Amino acid sequence: MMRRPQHVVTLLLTLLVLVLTGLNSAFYFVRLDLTEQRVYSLSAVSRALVREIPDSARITFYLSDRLRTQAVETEQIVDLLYEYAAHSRGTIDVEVVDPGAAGVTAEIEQLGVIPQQIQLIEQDQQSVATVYTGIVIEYLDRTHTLPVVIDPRVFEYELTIALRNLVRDHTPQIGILLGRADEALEREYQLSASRLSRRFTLRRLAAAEPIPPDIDALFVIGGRDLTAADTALINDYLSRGGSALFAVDGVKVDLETANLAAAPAPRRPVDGLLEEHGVRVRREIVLDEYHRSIPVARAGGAGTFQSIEPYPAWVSVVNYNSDHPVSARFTGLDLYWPSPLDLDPALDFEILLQSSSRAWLMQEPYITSPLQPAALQRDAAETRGRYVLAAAGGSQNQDRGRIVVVGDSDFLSNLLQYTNSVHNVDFAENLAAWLALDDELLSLRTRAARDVRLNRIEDPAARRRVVGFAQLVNVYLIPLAVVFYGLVRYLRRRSRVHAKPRTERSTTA
Amino acid sequence: MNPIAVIVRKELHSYFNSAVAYIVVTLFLALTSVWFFAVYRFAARDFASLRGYFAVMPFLFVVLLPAISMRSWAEEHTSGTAELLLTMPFSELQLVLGKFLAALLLVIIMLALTVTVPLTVVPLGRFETGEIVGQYVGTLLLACVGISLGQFVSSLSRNQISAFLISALVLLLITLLHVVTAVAHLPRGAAAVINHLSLLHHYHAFERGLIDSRAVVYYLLLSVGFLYLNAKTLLLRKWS
Repeated sequence: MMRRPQHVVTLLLTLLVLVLTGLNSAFYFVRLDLTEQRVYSLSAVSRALVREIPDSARITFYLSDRLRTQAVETEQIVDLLYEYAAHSRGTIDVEVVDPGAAGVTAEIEQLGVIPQQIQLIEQDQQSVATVYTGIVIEYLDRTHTLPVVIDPRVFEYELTIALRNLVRDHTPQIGILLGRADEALEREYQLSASRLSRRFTLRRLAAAEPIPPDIDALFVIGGRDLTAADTALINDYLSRGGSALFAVDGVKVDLETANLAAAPAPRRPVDGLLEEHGVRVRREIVLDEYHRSIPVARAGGAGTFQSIEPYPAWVSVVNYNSDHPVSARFTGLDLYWPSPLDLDPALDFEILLQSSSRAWLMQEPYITSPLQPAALQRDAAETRGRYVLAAAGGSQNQDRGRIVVVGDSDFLSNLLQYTNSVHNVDFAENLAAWLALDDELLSLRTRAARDVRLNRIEDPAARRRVVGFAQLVNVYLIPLAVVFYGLVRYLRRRSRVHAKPRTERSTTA
Repeated sequence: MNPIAVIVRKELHSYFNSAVAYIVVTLFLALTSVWFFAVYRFAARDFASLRGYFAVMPFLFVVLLPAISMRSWAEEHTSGTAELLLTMPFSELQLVLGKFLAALLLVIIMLALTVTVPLTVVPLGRFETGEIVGQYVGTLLLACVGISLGQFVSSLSRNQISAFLISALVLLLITLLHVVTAVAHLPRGAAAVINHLSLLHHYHAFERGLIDSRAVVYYLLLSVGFLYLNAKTLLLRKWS
């Protein structure tokens, strides 16, 4: 038998073991995500990034309470933020602040958080409220702002990239060479430029300017005005291990003409450059049964009116190479009068995107007017088939000189606003990441979003009935059932207790 | 029969023969449901999750778990049955475990009665089954901590009321410890330690359907630690 001092020692040792186990568990841990789509599981890239942050980072999510109750998706964003904190082992401090209640609206607007207007219906009154859903990341003396965060599917991607750029104090640079000298990035590529500049530093390059060695990737968009001297500079950049996207088409469509007149692009130096690398851009247009619609002005009795017409020359890409990092997380791409590409089988090119097998070609003389739907089918019978729309050169494992060719110079232009094709920019981001050899960024997947609304029952009356039933059962029936069971048990016990003396009395008698 | 099973049976009878179990279970079920449907306004939030429902449980446990555990040893001391119990052929650990498991079974029954909440609201939206499982696992582990703490405090007290008050106070403190880091600007290491010691800080992961080994280990260590201390207290009392 143990003596008292031995017991004290055992007690102290046991407590010490418990404390040490607790400490150990704080450093070596696993998190098991029980949700169906693993919505709280950060990707390996994000986890590795937060673990490598050397100093404290503070992430403040400025989220208006009014928006939080209206847009429940914001809860998923809050949850993901806490995942970053959980994996950081104390280096990331997360705070969710209602800017209105905290009285910091002016300060956060100065930091770049953009106010949003939402319509509210409260107590049968409709009103417009100004709300905020922006994130400010502070690290050392640096600050980065995500002006509006609302979509949980892309949130991890946005935050990880922002954190990484902030911590490493480096934002990848994309050099942009517009093949048409009269175009401006801010004018003709407004939406793409603004979206791309969130993750990359965009640097407009002038023709005849040597490609700077510090850019991470080059985008050549269109090739009309590029001279032989320009393409020689590009070739020089490629030969030094640079990577480039060529968005070039073989047919020029004039947007200024009413019937969208088209003509073959004359042979340009950029064609020669691409052929040297094994890609030929054909002077034809791919049309597809998978397509978008185009707004068209029609002459009517009292003037002109606008209608939306199906337009096979605006191709919605459905065939993509899911094995290639660029298109593995493909969310969609719309191409405007794309040209088919011929690839030299002897060279190392992989098909990224293809038309559907129900596509066809429009050959010279081109008819591209959306008002002549039958004429658009002119060459369909002879040319129906699958066509290459984008290809990537340089093997996936190669760490130098990657090339991507897309047979359309308009897919990043303002045309994407007509078709609401923001996914075109997502594709461009993937392209930029792959070209810049940023495989980390590519591995961040698009997060599956869960439908978190109570929308299974559409009929409001039926919905009210279900809620009423749930309240009746849980607020009244179950607690009352417990009380009832307690009373029955009490009464049975009492009757047993009362019965016992009577039995005893009768036995005595 | 296994000595622990004998004690569990005796304790459960004792719970259900007194009004305490019924009061605690009824209050728990009524308050959680009133909170969820009337105060939190689940239907108006349009959010297919039971987080709001489970979020209130740690706060209710601060009061209800000490109410369950306050009598476990304090009553034995008051009525003089503790000495009798300690002379029986049970080890201190068996006594402690028996009482703990009985109280835990009561909580499991209490939680089982809440299953009607997910069952009745599931037709409204696409609820995550994994999230609900995580919420129940977290709540059960939290209950383990509360009961073991309450029984340890009860073993130190001769009076049920003082056992209840002290347990509730200590439980409240370790539940809300992380609040300190929100109001005071502490060094990173100190803040991390304080957060790690807070029960509610760990509970948030369970609320979302995440099983974090840190939370599981912390809750289990606290439970084992309090049960062990409880057994040692009985031993010391036996000697004295």
